[in-house]
Amino acid sequence: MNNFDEYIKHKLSEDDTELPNSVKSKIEETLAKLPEKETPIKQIRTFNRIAAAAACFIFVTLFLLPNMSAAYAQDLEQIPVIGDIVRVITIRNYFYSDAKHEMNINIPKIENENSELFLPINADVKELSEALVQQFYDDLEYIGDEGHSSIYVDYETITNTDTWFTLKLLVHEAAGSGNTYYKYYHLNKITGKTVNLGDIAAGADFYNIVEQEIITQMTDAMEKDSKLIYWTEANDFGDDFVSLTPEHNFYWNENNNLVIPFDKYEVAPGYMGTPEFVIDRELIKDAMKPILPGKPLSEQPDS
Amino acid sequence: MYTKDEFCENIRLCEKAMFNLAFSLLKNEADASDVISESIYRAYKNLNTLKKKSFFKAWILRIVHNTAVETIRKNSKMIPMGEIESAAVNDYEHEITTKITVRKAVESLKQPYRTVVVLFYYENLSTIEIAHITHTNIVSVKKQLSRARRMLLEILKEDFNV
Repeated sequence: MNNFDEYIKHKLSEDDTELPNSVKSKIEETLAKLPEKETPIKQIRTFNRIAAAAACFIFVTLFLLPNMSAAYAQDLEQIPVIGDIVRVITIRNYFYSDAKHEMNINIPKIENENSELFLPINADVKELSEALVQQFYDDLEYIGDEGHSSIYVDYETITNTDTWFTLKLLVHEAAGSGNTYYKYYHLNKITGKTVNLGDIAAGADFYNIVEQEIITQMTDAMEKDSKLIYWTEANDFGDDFVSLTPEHNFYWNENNNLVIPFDKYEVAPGYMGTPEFVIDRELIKDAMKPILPGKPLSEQPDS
Repeated sequence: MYTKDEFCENIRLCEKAMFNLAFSLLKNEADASDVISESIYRAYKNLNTLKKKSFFKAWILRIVHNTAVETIRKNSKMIPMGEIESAAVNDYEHEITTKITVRKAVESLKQPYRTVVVLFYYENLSTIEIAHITHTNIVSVKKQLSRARRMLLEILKEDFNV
């Protein structure tokens, strides 16, 4: 996709348009009407100095010490799964807490004799987690004393069988209202490759069947209970709708059926939480790519 | 933090980004212009909420986003949004016989894809900044960008493959 990104940026730079004159004059008119303003520079500076001292104290006691001290870090670290073949460990814990802001981010790493197989997953988990840490500190500076914010990141091993491995990353953010989302990472242990939804879809049919089944389940649920609301069609402003991409989250449940989870607000109002839909494997088996390429369906292992 | 002159200078540096964002949301030059004007007033009035000078662009774009969303909600009570969208799509369909520009392709995207594309490709903002401006999260922004790329690729595939 990088080539496509470059293509778009190149085309846009060629097609760079000037700001319309009417807009430009309205902006200048607005700026000219702004009153002269005395900003409370002294007050802000004093506040910043106190805040900086407090932040420094919190940084040293709650963040720097745990991360510099091996013993402290070991206490914080948990090892949820040590399987025969794959194990997941916490490689880093980012913790921060004050009266209005809280962060607790556990960064996992998947370890295996054949570690390079997990490099793409480990790299993505690290990148996302560190971006969230950075976002927390940016928000902390941005919001300051004027609001609350919190972020929690944790993980869970969903599947660890002979053939399949799935790690779930859980993110819960709150600033005003809360937002929860998940990211699932899969490794096909037979092929040694990371897998996304696009890798198990044989073609467009797969998405059509799954999307239609989700909409049917949503409609049935709403008919049975009038308190339930799902957005089954695209609406006109900002809200998402049921449309799967090759990168959409999924996992296999204990009955080996496909589960499609959605983030909070993705297909329903916030009070509906993070809905999940189970798709019977029978429904999609003909639209799926085989786990073992070249082998007939009868010889395919379960996921 | 800023004198009036410094504030005005920063607004001028961001005016194109402000217009691109407002236009992506409203699809109408006059409304976009009103939203920018209102956003400048709000920003100036609340200048003390800007914590760091380097945040100015993301901060002002967040105010533009909020103001535009309010305008859309107010307008939607009078004009159904569906009519606005379908009118825009029709305009686009007329153009389909001629060469499709990337800009037209972006304008044909539905929300929220149009806005994230404008912020990502036009303004070169990071997914963290886009999440901050549009009140969402990094994962959602990444998903929206991924979907938007697929839609754009579908529209522009002939030109892209040349």
